[in-house]
Amino acid sequence: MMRFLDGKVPGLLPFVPPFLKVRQVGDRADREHPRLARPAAVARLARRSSRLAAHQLQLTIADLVAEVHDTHHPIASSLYYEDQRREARRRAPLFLRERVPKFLGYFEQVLARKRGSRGKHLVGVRTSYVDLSLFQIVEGLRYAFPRAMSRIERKNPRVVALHDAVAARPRIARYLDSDRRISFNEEGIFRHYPELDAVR
Amino acid sequence: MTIGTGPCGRLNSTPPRSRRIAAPRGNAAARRAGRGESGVADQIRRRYRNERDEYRAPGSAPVSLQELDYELYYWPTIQGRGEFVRLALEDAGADYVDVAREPGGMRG
Repeated sequence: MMRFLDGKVPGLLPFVPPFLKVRQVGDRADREHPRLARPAAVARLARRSSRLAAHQLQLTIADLVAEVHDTHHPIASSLYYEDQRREARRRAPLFLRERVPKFLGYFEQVLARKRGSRGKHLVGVRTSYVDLSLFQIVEGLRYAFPRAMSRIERKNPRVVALHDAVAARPRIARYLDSDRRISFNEEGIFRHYPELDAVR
Repeated sequence: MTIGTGPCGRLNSTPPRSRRIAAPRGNAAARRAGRGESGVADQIRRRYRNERDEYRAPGSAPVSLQELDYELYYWPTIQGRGEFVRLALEDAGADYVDVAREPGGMRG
């Protein structure tokens, strides 16, 4: 990984992890199966409009992830949590009161408007990577802010239903049960600091 | 993002330099066979391959995504932002290697 970050590998320089290397261009498999020679994450979205919609939703999820990060690092990523705890304790309750309901309420609305797929998917009529991402958001928020989330979830039943449907997918269920799934911890994005799990 | 309990970011996340243990890169036979170029990833890919499902594209002839290779590069001890990618790869039954979680993978 450091070879890439240190710029020792040709090609696009990654900013920070995660980055994904896809072996495809010019490969035999690419020539024989060009439709499949793109990341698995978008392989299920056939229509361009669906891919754009998914991209937009994923960008919104990225915005939310950044705000989750800022609940425990509101001042600077370079400082320890302990050095910005006071600011975190101001920010987190506002995040839980204003921002999480706004974001999850948005996804709830998107699902409610999708009569075609009966609200089962954010985009199209099949599970896509944005559904998986929303699942992860719910999982992470439940870990980090269990008290606040128990209340917020009640107002967003479609989001919760989507989360449950993703968790029941065979490959996802197997993955979550495997050693490949790392446990949530206080080094990642979703951190459980009980003092931050309060709605004022 | 962070590794360890320190600040959040890459500042203190670079692991100590250690002796490279990956296989030599640029193996000509491997390139001719159309496989990847990363030594570490090549070594562990074989093991992963046996554990993964075959992927069938909807409504098309059976094609194995195992012919396509994905190398995910992300911090090895957290879900973090990498987890969104891991979920997509897992749900697709894709043949991927979580490179940094393998021995020598942080350097590779």
